[in-house]
Amino acid sequence: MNLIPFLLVIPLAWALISLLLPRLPIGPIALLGMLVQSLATALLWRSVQLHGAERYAIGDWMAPLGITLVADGLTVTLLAITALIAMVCAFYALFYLRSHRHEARYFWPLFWFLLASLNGIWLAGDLFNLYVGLELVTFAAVGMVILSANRQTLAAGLRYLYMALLGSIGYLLGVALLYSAYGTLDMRQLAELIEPNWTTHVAMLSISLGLLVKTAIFPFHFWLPPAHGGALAPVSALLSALVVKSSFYILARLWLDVGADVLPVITAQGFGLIGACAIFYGGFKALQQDEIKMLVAYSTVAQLGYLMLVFPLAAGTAPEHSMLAWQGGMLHVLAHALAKSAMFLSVGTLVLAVGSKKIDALAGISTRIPLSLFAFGLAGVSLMGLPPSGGFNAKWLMLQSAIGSGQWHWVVVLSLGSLLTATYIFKVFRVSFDQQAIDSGKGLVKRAPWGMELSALFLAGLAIALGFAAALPVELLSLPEVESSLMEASQ
Amino acid sequence: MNLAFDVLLGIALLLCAAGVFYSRDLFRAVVMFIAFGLLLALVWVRLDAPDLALAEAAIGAGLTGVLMIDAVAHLSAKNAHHQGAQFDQTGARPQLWSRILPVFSAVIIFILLLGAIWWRPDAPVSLPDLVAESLPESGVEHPITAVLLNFRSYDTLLEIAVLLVAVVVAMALKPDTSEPEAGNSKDPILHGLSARLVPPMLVVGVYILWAGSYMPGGAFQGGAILAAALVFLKLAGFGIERLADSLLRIGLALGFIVFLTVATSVMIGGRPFLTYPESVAGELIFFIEAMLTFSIGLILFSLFSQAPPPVAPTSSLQGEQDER
Amino acid sequence: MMYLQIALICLGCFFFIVGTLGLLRFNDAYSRIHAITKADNLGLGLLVLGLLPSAVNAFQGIKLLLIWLLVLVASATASYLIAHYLKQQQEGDV
Repeated sequence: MNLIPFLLVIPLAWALISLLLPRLPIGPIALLGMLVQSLATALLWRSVQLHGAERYAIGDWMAPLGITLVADGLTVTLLAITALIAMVCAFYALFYLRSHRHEARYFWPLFWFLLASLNGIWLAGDLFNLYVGLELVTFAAVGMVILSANRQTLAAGLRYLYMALLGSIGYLLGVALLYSAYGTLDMRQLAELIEPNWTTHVAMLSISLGLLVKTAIFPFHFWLPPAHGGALAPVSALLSALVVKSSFYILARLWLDVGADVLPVITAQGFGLIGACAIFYGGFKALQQDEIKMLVAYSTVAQLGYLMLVFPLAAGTAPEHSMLAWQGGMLHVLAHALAKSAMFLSVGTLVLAVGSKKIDALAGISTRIPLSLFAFGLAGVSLMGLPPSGGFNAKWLMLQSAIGSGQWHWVVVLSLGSLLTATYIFKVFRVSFDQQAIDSGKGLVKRAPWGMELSALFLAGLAIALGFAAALPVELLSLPEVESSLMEASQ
Repeated sequence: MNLAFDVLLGIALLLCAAGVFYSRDLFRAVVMFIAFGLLLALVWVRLDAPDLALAEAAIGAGLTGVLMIDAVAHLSAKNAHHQGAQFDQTGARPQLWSRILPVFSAVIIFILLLGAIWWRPDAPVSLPDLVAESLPESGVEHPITAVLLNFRSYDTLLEIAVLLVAVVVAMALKPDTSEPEAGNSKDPILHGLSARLVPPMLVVGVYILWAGSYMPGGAFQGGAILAAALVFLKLAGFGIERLADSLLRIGLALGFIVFLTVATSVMIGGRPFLTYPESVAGELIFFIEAMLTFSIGLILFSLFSQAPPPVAPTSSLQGEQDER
Repeated sequence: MMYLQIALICLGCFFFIVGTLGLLRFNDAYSRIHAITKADNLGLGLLVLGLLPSAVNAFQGIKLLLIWLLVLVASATASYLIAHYLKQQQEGDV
């Protein structure tokens, strides 16, 4: 029995359960569902590791008539990180939602729909199916942002919705053009047929713009900080760690997997340029924030910029440098997902403990609530790219690629970006270790539930541990070309 | 003759779009939007896609229009409460660049698209031929239904999930304290009309669902007509929004539940996900579609009925009057 | 027959144009309703009559007549609702 469809059926079934049977303890049931889901993911991971990539024709209709799901190394890695982070967020939400009765009712159905759509996107091998997946992600994510239904989150959610729909239209337009030009929506077939011509370029431009808006890459980032900064803590963690990655994943797959031959070097460098802008702009804005959640949200804007550096490093360079960049970029996806979810969860605990969103309110809490602050710090280490951490490995791979291919300007960007990250992380620490505040007995806090502190610490620990175990995912994240030859062999 | 009609249609469509965009009066913009939707339905008819035309007219123009008019009425009532302001939200004249920029970018997109279509390579794969070839195995006779419910049924499954999520979000936004609305004004004529018109509407909805297996039609169109009938009933003052909460919830999800159950249970026989056994494919598809029609109708209706009750008797028409 | 059809359709279109003109030019809502119902009732009726002989079979003819009937009912009700609402508003204001 093939496992792939279960990764979709399980979350959808649980979504229905938590929607229709609200009287049941849906929180603990969700945790159970996450365990089942993680088990299925782990089994699929193992199977791909042993037998190589798998393809699954839904309805037994072969592409281009039907939709094919693909589980290759990258897919299973993303499935695993999704299951992991979602499980920890679910555990955290059990404690967090105790103080949010109204939100708890609809959090769980949306949580499961979000998970189903993310899994659907990682697995999709069909351009239109990806569009449907993006729609589902968008609606579930916007729904989760506006759960608390106050003025700020409603405004942020509405703006998020409009921008995401704009992105969807761009994507859909491009897909329609590609379909009209090549007659297929299947990504693998498209990879064989695609050739550089005007139609392809316009289509890819439209798709890229749409996905850049959805990924909140500078200069389309403005919807992200209010949405991610205003949502509930577990929601922010899921959004920053996973949701924005889904559209980046499609972008990367499309350019580096499908359209590698039609990617002009100038476009790749342009992608890198806006990535660099995002790194610096996001960093500076993070530094200026006085609300801690907004600081973390702008940090996401900056960190997403690093992902865009993959394009100039991987396109038009020697295969080994291209491979390094691709691996570094995907490792960065994982490291950032872990670190940022840990950061949002720990910040959620801190905000709940001090009862204020302001950074200044954190004065002197280092002695009061050290565990969460420690988790924040560990996550910060990974974000800055200090060794040993997943973030360090990711940036190290990208640096090697940049040096190897002689693109020194990206080396500068990578190093300066880390410095900027350090600055805004230390801004939080300077306040929290304020000796005067500690002495004067400031920073009296409510006790935070142990489960919340622990979840954040767990994820932060994983972000660090990724520095030691980076070989595991990197091995699976080999270049797509290698994967497709594997696929041929396995069929 | 047809070309002239198409050109006229295109121009009218553009004018409506411009009207939506440049109208400073929100109510007028909404009316323009509805007109735009109806014209777009005509465009679909001209493109030989009557099912899309039906969906566009019923959902794009009809239900969305109703929702928007409702929203405008709420906004104007709120504004009247606070400062007696009219529809213009900002009060200030929009800046010049915000009027020119959209036109400018639309022209650029138009040129790019024109080029993309002009120099389009001939598609090496012809999917319509493949669909026609496999149609006998799909269990239905109409290619669009075959694509939606069989070849690419996975997309449809996720689309239904999208609709369901939209309703969940709408429910989440509804305040906890929702007391039953104060007695709707029961207009005798509207009441009588809807009592006579709704039964034929339901018949048409079911007919369109049934027709979907061999000609344009199907679950979405049938569901939209069902939803329209429900909205009609609600507006006429029948208290149908007081359907029991749990019953409504199951009804909303019923289509999705059936779809997912069928999709998964075929795997017991060792078939891949969403593979209908060929001998009963037609029946299964019709069963799923019937349940989907019911659910889609309820979903679209509840997007409308989840909206908060009217704030004050100030209505949208008032603004139209004052403006003149 | 053909000429009769053309004449009927042209007359129908004429009523539509006049009705639309009235809708645009009259400055009182009641007059406007008056104008637009002419388009719906007479104009559409004449169009349907003009198209009837071209119907391929009886079903198409019945459908054409049904369209007219439904539009008649709907437009009559809508006009009534608008007028009724206006009247209520005016009485409320006075």
